[in-house]
Amino acid sequence: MTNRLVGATIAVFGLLAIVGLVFVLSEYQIYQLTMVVIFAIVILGTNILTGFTGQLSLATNAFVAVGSYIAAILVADYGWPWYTTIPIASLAGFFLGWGFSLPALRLKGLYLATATLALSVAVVPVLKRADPITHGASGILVPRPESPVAWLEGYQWRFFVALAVALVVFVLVRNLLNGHVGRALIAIRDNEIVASIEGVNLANYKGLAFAVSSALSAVTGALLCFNVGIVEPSAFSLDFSVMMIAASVLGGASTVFGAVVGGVISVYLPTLANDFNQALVGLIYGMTIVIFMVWMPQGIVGTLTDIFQRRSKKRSGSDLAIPVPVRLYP
Amino acid sequence: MQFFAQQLLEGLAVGSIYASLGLALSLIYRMTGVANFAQGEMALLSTYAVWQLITWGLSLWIAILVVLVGSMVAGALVWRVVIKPVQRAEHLTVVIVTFGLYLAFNNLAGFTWGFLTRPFPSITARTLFRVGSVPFSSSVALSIFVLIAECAILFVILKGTRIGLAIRAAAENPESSLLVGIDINRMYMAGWALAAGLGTVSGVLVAPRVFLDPTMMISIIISAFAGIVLGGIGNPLGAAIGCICVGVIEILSGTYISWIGADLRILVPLTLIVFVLLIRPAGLFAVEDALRV
Amino acid sequence: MVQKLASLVFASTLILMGSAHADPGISDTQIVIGGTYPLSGPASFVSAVAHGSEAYFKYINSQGGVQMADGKKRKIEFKTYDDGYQTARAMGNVQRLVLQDNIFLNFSNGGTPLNLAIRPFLNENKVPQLFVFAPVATFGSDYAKYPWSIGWYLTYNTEAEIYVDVLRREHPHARVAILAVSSDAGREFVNAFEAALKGTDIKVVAKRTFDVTAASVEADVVELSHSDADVFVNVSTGRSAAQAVRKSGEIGWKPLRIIWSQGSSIAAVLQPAGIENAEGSYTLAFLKDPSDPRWANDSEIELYKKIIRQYGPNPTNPDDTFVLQGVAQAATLEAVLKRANPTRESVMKQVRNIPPTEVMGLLPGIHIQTGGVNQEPIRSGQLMQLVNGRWNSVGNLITIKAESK
Repeated sequence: MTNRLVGATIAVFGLLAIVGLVFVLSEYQIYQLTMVVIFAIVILGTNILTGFTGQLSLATNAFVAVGSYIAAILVADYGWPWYTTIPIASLAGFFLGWGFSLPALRLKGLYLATATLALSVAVVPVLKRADPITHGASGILVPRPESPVAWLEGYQWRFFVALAVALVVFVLVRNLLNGHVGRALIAIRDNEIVASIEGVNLANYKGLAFAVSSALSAVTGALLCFNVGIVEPSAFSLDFSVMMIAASVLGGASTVFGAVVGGVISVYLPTLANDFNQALVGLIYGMTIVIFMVWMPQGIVGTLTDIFQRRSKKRSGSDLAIPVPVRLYP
Repeated sequence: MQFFAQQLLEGLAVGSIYASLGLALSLIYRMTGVANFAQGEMALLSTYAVWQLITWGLSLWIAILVVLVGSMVAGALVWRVVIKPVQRAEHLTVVIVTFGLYLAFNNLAGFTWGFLTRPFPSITARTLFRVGSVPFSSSVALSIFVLIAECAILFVILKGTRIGLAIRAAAENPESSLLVGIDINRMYMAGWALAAGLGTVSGVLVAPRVFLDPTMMISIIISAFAGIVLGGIGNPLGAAIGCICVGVIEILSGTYISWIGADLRILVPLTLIVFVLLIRPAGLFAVEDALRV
Repeated sequence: MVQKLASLVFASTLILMGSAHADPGISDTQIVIGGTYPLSGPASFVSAVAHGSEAYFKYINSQGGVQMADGKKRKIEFKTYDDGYQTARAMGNVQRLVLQDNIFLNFSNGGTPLNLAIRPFLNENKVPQLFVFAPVATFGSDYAKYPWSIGWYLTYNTEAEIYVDVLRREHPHARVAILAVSSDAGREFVNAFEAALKGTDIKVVAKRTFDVTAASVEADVVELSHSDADVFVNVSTGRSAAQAVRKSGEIGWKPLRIIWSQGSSIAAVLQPAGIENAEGSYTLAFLKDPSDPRWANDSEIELYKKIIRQYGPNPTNPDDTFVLQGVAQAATLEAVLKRANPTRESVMKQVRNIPPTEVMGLLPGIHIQTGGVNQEPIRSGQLMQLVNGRWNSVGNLITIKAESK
């Protein structure tokens, strides 16, 4: 009980600190933090599907694109208010994800990866081809939402919006994973046959994991649209999905907090690499991934949790902090 | 009819490009269980190395030989330094590591040699045959010939020699192999070295036809991957045939189904594979067993 | 008395210095400028533009800097950040440049979508966005809405219109086959081309769009050759352009061929393809092709190559037309700065009123010029035909006048 109280107090103080920071930091720094929050959402989705349920999907970019384009088209072409598009995007992501998972999740391991690869590779050419709807390769310009109150600047407002959405998402997901759903997903990841014998309906739970993960991707897409100001096809390539998976694994794929760490890595690693040598950003990014994975295969949060647990010799109550190997192949 | 024959040959030509890389991909998967995202970029670096040696004055054949040996050493080194520490970890970790290598190698190539398109000399002079009235390029014929030769050599090594037996044993049953005294790690290292060598051959064959620049291998690896899934993952001969089929399907569907066109071409073989896999939810083709090397 | 005078002078100088440099990024000795480019990733061939500009700025600096209208010589510090062609990162880079690095002005940037995305932010913050790498019409026409932004290139729209105009006069009943890369640039060009065809008797009978990372476009060329087209418009770049040129030569398909300006480099496209395969092709150019033997003894190109070899970051290849583009853009900025006082407003005022100015790399007879409703610095192109491995000028310079709104 005291643990929860301590945890809650830390969370509240942390939140207050963040709010305070927003009024102190520069627009550029707030923009970076907004991006961290936004990417944390999609990486959390990846953690749910791959870290918790053990299904590798390369199609993250597809659902992020769905969210981005829905937001952009509704606002730019039809004049809808921007805040309506976020729930719409999440629903679209959820149902499209569920729909895709119905046939796809009958496949396992590398074959599932291939199916998602097909979807992932299809995104950019289809977006460019669907010119009448998507404006093709030139993309859609979307005005960034302005602050409704005088005492908040646009960029501060956008940060708070992203933060609010992320908090809602994280709390919902955490509750989902803490309950029987989480246990079912972990059981599926560890051994599908055993899980099925124990009465876990594989199709339903795997489908749920896919749908939730896709919904989160779509939400990220919508938020990206409103923070970057333009939506264009080449941003949603296969590389995007792989970057998200890399960030997820680096952060700690089977943890909830790992998603936040993943978000930080996605945003700050390119920036730091740039300072080191701007011509070598890609090289440094790649080498960092390699070095980190060789050194800390369980990701940052996983490894830290390991160390912490070994030191304090006590186990935390929730499965959420214990990284368990992700089995990719049957 | 002539048009069809011409496009069929184009499909064969493209398919042979995919197959040359697909063979390396499939071999690594078969021997070490790793789907190596970075295979194409390793081949790219080898190709640039050959280009550099030629620019410094070496003859084409000597340059290829030097880089062939060098790339095999490099492949073994990559395995030893980067893959071996993580191959006991989750499979996802290994895949991520290969992705990191892909990023690193691709950018290394761009940083070292720049982005200007470069011509690359062909092993044979690029002449045009005529099959009937259809023009057929000699470099395509060369690619197919080399492909067949590679498959034959692999078949002989893997099926006909003791070391080939050891390699297959290590791949199929690591624990038992240990018990009979097979050094699995050496087998894995050999696998990466061999695949790196195949990658070099692939790059050297492909570059004269598509020209050398850092983006050369990016889309090839995706089609190659589709091909090896079609032909049977882990089955190098099947992989080669699968890749050729992917090439033919891509070109013919792009030509004859007009709304697919050139930009949606890659989707056809990928979608086909997914459908086929769905019909057989177990994920394996019966024909694979017959083709198993 | 002398003391009072001295302190008065001293105080006034301080005040003048302080108020004269109310804009960030500029001092008496230095200007800080910045841009975001895809320095890594599949679009990183654009980084050559940044390298060209970098080299030119270093060259100016080696001579003491650029002398502005207030008589002071200032060195140019050019900061570039990598965005990997991701708009999210480009936004971040530009904010960093403006808000953290305090640049005086934003220069070039690599790519149209990026420039479009950052334009509102730069205008809100009253930061000049100069000579962007985005050959689209809006940077020349929307100066009322975005007074701080201006383009540089002859736009794709203008280029396409010129080709259609030439076809209309020489081949009024042409049947056109198009091979186009599916990038924003390719799309802009093809849309403008097709729009300009309205009202003519010229028809597009075959079109193939391919992805920028496609391994080979040879099958597409074969496909196009089987249409009844008598004009082939090649809207591809780099490797794919070379493949297309070579294939069409090999299969003996040599209709009237037009290669757009982005794919006409002798070093990058035509020589790898076998230059005889492109013999007789047409293109529109406003820059010299540094690999064209025609300019082998041209003093300007010789100086350009010397600058690149000496100041260009490794490995910058002077034969790369993108490098020359970067140099020409940098030279344009230098020309504008020479006439400007050290404030952003003054720079913008000069940008909007550039008298006909020669700049390194432009074809003879082509000038940078703006004024009034004309806010596209380059409005002229020269039709060229490849003859014996060189681009020969055909006819006179073609200039599209700006229309009044």
